[in-house]
Amino acid sequence: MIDRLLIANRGEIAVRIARACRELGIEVVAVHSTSDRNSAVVAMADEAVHIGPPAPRRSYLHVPNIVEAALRAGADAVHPGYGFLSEDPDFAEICAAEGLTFVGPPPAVMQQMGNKATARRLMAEAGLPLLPGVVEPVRTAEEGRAIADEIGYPVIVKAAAGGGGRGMTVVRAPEDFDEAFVTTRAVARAVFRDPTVYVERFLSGARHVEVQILCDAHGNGVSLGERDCSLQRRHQKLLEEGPAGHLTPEQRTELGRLAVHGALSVGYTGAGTMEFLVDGSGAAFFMEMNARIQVEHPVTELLTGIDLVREQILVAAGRRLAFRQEDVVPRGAAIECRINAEDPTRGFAPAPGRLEVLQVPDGPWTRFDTGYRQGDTVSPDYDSLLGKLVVWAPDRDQAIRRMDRALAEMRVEGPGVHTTIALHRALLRDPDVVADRHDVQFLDRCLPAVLARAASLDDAAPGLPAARGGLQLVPTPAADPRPDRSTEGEIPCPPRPSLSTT
Amino acid sequence: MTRSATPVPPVPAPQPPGGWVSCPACGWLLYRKRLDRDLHVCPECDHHLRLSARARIDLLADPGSWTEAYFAPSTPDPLAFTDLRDYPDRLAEAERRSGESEAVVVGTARIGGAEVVLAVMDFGFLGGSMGVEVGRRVSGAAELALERGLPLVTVCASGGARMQEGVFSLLQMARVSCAFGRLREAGLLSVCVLTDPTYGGVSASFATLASVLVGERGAHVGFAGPRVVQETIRAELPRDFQTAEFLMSHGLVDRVESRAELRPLLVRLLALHGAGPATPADRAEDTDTDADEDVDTDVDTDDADADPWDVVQRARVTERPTTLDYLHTAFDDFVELHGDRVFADDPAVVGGVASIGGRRVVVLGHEKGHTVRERVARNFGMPHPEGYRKALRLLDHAESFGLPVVTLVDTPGAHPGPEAEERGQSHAIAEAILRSSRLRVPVVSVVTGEGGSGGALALCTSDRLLVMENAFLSVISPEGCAAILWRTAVAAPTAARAMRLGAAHLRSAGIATAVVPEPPGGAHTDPLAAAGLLRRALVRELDDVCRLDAATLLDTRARRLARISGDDGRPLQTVGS
Ligand SMILES: [Zn+2]
Repeated sequence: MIDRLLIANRGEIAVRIARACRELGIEVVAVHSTSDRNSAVVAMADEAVHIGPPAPRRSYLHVPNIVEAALRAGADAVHPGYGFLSEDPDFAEICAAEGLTFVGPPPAVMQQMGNKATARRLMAEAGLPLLPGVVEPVRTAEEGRAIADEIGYPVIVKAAAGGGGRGMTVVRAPEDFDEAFVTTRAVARAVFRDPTVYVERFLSGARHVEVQILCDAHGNGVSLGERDCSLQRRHQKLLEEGPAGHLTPEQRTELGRLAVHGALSVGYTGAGTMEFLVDGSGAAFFMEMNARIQVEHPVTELLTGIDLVREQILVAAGRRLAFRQEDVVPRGAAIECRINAEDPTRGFAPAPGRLEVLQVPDGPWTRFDTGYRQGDTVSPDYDSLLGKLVVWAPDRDQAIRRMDRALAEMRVEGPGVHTTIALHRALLRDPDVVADRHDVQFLDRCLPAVLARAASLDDAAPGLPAARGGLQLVPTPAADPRPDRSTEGEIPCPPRPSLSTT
Repeated sequence: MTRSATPVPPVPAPQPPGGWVSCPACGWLLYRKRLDRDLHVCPECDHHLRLSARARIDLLADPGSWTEAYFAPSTPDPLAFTDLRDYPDRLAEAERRSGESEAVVVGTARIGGAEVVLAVMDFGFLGGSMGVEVGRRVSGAAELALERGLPLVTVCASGGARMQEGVFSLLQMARVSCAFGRLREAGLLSVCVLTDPTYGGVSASFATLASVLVGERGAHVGFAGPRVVQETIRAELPRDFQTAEFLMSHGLVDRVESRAELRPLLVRLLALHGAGPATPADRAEDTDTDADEDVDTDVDTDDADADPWDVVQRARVTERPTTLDYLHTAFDDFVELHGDRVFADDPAVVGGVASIGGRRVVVLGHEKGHTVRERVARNFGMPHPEGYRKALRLLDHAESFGLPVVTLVDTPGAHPGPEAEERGQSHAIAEAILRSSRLRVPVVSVVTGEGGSGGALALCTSDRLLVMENAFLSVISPEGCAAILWRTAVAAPTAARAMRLGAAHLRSAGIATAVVPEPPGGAHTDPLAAAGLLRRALVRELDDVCRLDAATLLDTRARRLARISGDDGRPLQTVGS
């Protein structure tokens, strides 16, 4: 069993892991950079180790110091969180060599899953459907046309260096291929200075659906349902939800079965995510596997009632899974909004700074995971995730309303600080999003319209009857100190009972 | 809660723990397995750690393609040398330590499918020093390349000549240089990768004699070691003294590449010199240009007479595509080759090897850049003598490998300045004109923008001279002409009209052989379309001119140049005949 665990991470996920450890009775060793010395997780930990200057590669990515910290602090396990070293097979291997239990899959499996081509090959061998296309660059139009004929139209010609909708051309018929190929390559060469292009099957209206799985070291694995993360900007997820309501229950069960089968076939252990691209008909294609806990794991926790980080640690400690597939019953709908310290109107440029006001929403089935407290400073050295607002409700419509209410309650203020709060409220008002018919390109396509809506929301200060102020049924208490009662000899008595909820 | 701190940044331990390596440049602790995967490049400071010959071969050759050449064993000790130890002892120990029998390994391999002779030095064997056996193997590699008609790729790492073999080592410089000379005469490609360190007798012989010189990032390359130089001049040397980057800025190597980029570069270089698997698909790609409907894209010059001043202004628009833009859009592949191999790399002239429509060519052109910063860095496309000397040596390169030449002309003129005069601006321009007038391979020139005076003409002497619709050639800028003849630069538009600047006049005067159309409004309004039109014209002209043999080319080129006179080219009459 694990007695003392080092958290090789920072921010909200470090706090999240520390909480799970507390509940499990595991002592917590936090590591921190110079700029994080007063962070929330440092305050929560049994021991905190300063591992380096703010730059991640000298602190949270610097393996020698982290391993040294673990050994000196007497930790027997290391949880890498997400990002940083979480998918670094070397780190996992070094931890094992130093006798530290690494909370994650075996290094060899991590290595395989970390290589996109290897992962695709292994999953294809396990019988998972892959998106037809090639991972090798296509050199000539003739070669590309042969590939397109083989995988079937429509195809997409993609610049290797492209992204966010730039340097891509969808080709719907063979006669258009050559021109699309030549143009895309010319654009790639002119814009990105790299003419490398790929040819892949094009899915119209595709959704990003990922299945959460959990496997123990004894060959057992379960699926914990799926999340839909189609609302992303240039592959950066913004809003995640579960379940994938656009799939039938049978399709969802089958996807879960495939995911567990794929993971077990490579000897995966711990929590992991299998990402699929799902087309309009519900056909799913394996994209990649994330061998770690993910940012959006609370969505699954709210749907299933299973504490993923706790299970992750237990599995790493060698325990068998305490539940079987039939015990996992996702209920209702959950949504997560990533509240980032970014300015969406300025191309999502990081907008860090001191959080003079951080007022967190509350209320039924409303959860806010963060590593920041009011008065903390968001450092420009790290990602801009301020926190994750997650809500649950019996159905998707209620969840959307609950999320909007919670977003409206939230207040983040500070010099130079901007957030994605208004953007989320605008997103949740978009007819396509409300109707659950958006696709993965939605944000790249419709961002200007969403931003415009967010701006109009910002103008009308939400939730406050700003125009006339609050209705007063009793006199407002005077601002200056009341006269001493004893000297005045007057008993203040309200003319009628107060209706205000003070 | 307790707090503790580990030392930061980590002190480079004298004995790093097992599995860890301390970076020799920055002291950062590197996990050995990761370092192996990172090709022994420090992720922290980008220092390229030294590699053994075997690791180099793995890095560069197609997997499983390496066949080592056999050299009959020899144990040369011509001087029966002894210092603190006997030389044969040192050889035996070097062999045991490096696992190699000498400081260079020679064999054949494929690189991106192209069969090559590969010679790789191992610094771990007595500092890669060149004695008789290294000389024998390197010249043997060149002979093998000659015998099989293969390109030779050499990877250098050497402290210089081997002291223990005395003057016999020194003479190896002549032996290997002679072998490389024969390769050059045979028109076989040689590429030398200069790695850290390459000095003395190796850098002053075969290491710098290859057709293309590529420096590995950060590698130190020079003749005399920095300590010797420092002690001689007793002054502080620049920080980057003798690095590959220093060499490139002084025009001495063609390129500097990171370790990971070396193999992809070699693959492209080999393909652009006709080595490697034939790519029949390359031509098929050209269906877009073949669908040319055989329409003569030549603009009808009779009714397209644009106002010369409009032409001048369009030719100068800062958004107008430059040579590098065309190289990346109108051509299929392009590897830039830098430097004049003597003094500097002039950024106002760019050149290298390229492919277009399945044909391999050498391309040269003026480069202006677009932004203010770029234009300043490129001296507004006004070359110095080193720019023309770069052009000259690339013309030589084209002739050696039988590659046709394409030049793209866009310059206000050659740089007027004292340094340019000191280094022989006139001489450089004249040599470039002469060389291109007598080059034994076809030359197709395109005036893509401003064709200012002799600075432009240095790259205009050709078999075909194309002019883009909004381009011009002139003996002086319209402003200059106006200032002299009208006594005010304000008269530039009038001067432009008087000089009849523009494609139409060049075409009708027989100076230009064709006009390349541009998108309506000028090339800058749709750079991709402009590139497509240029590509089409170039493919057409190259197809046409590449049919001619060298003798015919030289003859027709000379006659073409003689005809251009404005008076129908009446031959000179000998007085009194
Ligand atoms: Zn380093």
